[in-house]
Amino acid sequence: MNFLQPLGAIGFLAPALILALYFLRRKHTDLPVPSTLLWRQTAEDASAAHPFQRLRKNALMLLQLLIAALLAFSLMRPALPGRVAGETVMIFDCSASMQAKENGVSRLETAVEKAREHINAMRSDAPLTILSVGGETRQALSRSLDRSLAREALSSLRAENTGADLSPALSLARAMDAELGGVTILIFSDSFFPQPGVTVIGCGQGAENRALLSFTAVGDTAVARIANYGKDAELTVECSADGALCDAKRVFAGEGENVSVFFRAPENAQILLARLVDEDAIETDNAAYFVRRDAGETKVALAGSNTFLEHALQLRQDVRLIRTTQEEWDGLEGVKLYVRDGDTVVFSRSAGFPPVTAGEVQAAEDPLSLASSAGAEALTRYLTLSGVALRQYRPLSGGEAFLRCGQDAVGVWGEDWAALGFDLHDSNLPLKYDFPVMIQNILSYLAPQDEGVKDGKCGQSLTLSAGGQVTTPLGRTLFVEDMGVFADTGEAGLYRLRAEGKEYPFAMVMEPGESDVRAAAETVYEGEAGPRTGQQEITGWLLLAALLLILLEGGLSRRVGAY
Amino acid sequence: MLDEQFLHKLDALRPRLLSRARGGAGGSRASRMLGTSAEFSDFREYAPGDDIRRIDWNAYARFDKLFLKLFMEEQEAHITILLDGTASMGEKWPCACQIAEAYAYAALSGGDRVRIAIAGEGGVSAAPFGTGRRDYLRLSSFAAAYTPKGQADLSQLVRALTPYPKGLTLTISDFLWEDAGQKLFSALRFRGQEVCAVQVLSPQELRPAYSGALRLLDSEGAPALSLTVDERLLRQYQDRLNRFLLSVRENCHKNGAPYVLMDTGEKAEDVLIRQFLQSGILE
Repeated sequence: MNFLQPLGAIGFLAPALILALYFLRRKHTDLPVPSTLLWRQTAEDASAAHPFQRLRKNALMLLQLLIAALLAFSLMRPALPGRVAGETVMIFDCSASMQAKENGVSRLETAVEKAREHINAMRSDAPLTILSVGGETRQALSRSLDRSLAREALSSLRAENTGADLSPALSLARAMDAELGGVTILIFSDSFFPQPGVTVIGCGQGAENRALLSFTAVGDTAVARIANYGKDAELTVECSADGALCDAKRVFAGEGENVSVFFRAPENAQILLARLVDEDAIETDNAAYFVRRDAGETKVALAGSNTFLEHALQLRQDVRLIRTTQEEWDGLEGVKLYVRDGDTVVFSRSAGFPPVTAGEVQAAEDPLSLASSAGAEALTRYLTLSGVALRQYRPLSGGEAFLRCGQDAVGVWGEDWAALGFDLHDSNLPLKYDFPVMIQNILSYLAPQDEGVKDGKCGQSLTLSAGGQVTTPLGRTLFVEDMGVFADTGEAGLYRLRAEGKEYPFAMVMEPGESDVRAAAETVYEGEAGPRTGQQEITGWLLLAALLLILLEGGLSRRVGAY
Repeated sequence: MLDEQFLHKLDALRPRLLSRARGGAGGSRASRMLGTSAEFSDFREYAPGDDIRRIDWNAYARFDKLFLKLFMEEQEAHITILLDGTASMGEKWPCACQIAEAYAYAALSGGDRVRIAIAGEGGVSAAPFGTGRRDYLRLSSFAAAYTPKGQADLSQLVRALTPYPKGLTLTISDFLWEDAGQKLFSALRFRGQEVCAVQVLSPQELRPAYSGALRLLDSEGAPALSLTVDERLLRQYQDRLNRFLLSVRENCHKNGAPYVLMDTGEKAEDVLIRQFLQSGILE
């Protein structure tokens, strides 16, 4: 029980005064009489007739003391723990870190339990809104007075495999507060920083976790990168190829360290899986897939005979080079890229000539340099042009520059073409490391490899070039239209798209940033030292009781006689 | 001291005895003892109510006043006026003295031998018997000089009183005792007395008007009594008083004693003669 006005305890002086008055009242006036015989007999008669007279006198005093005590008590404004009044908005952080288990209970389960306690403490006329925030914000309950619906909403909450941005939900809650006033905003999270007007209910204590950061394979070697978000540990990592265990390693990871583990894996295995065997706080990030993708064939028609160019084009395994002439291009089918080699080198998706104009041949007085134009990164990535010399060139116009010689553009690109303004023989570029890299960049830009569906992070939307049937890691089957957006990527693990008679596996991984659960948010109350609790003041009841006792005392005092 | 006018009214009255007087000197009362002569004894002035057959017409003719000739052999009664001299009679003492004086005058006028005995702390103090009106002053002074005090058991004192010739005792008291006077009456009867009783109570005793928290202090030293007096208690007191007065009256009746209740708030001279005549204490 709380007392809203503790200073009211001074009212307890009243019972003390009553006692004092009662004893003072006992001072009688002395009256000499000839004889007390008849008075004594009268008093005995009265006692005999009313045996409870003395008791009534004592009862009067007790009643008066009780009344005084009730009034004094009411001055202190006692309040029983009651229910919280006012509307409440509960925002639940459903990010991947809320999956972390501590003592067998996940952080989200802890949050739900705490939320239930809050709901039980709410008054029945207090509306409740529940928002869950994972990959997106969802409204699980809207201004409801039905507590059974609230409990259902809480039960339906699930921690996702994504991060969570609580800002939109918080903005919504603040807007409700601004409109309605007096709204209590509770955020159940393990990582939310305190903000004014918001009570953060901490849902974690800190836990150790290890995560597979990445998993890739080249040839018969697979590499897994492991992060240790905990104390020093010996970790066991398994590697499976197409469902069969093929290798396992034990590795030591120091506290906070990232370590790499190498496996031997069959070269022809399509699906490789790395898995941390040891239990930790989050299980989802203990597995990582690597999908070997069959790129298919990319036809490239080459008009010219530059050997360096041919080799550079064929470095990509899916490229099928067709040596031909420009005149024969119209008869070719399925060509993804047309390459004209001459005093300029032109790459284009179509057989037609792109809108680029070459100027007169000029001697190169400046070294070749990369042009810093927007969008050129795809063509210039990994290029250094160190030691690349150019003898002469034709300045190009049209498109955006990605190579320059002085002020002149010697490499330009457009939406579906790219061009070099020099004869490869007039440069030592083909002899440099940059040449195959640049050719691969141009290939990737103009004739990207058909790798099916790319891997991604849970919650990420994918645009599927081909419609079909998607099977999720948990076995759900979904249908996606051609060029449709596939957004149901909340499950971590291996998905399979079946389209055009082919199967395209792809993996979605948990948000890596959610794996570190060593820290957890503490409970921070909105502007007060403790939780906001409801209180039910009982002053009115005390006053009513005192009034009833006063009436009883009045009736009883009329009947009290000698004592 | 009673005034002359009141005493004059008492001239024609005398104590009434149920039994014939015996012994003593000649008095105005017919005795059972048969006299051998009709010797003239005395004259007494006529008072209304006297037997007119006893009027001495010769004296009338001579003095032009009516006189009664006491020529029959008549004997005196010994009358004791027993006054309660305890402390409870304090404020009632003047009234008690008036009653005693009036009765003594009537008895002396009637030819009886009268004495006043005051029973109180220290025993009984009795004046010698007197006869004739000449002893009235002596007796009245004797009573008036006394101050009630202390407490006493009158029944015990009466048993020990000597001399105590047979006769009549008029007891003047408030009778505020547990036995309502029964032991006293028994003791007097034991001593061969006819008893008359005059109960004297003050207005505060008959109609108390107290209220509030009081501590009653008994004048005779009984333990103090703390009360809160309200209307209810006053009603209960009246009930108790009435029962007490009834008890006294019943005790008097049982002992053949005429009884009078005197309120000291009333003027004794106004009510005394009427009450005494009605009760039969005087005739």
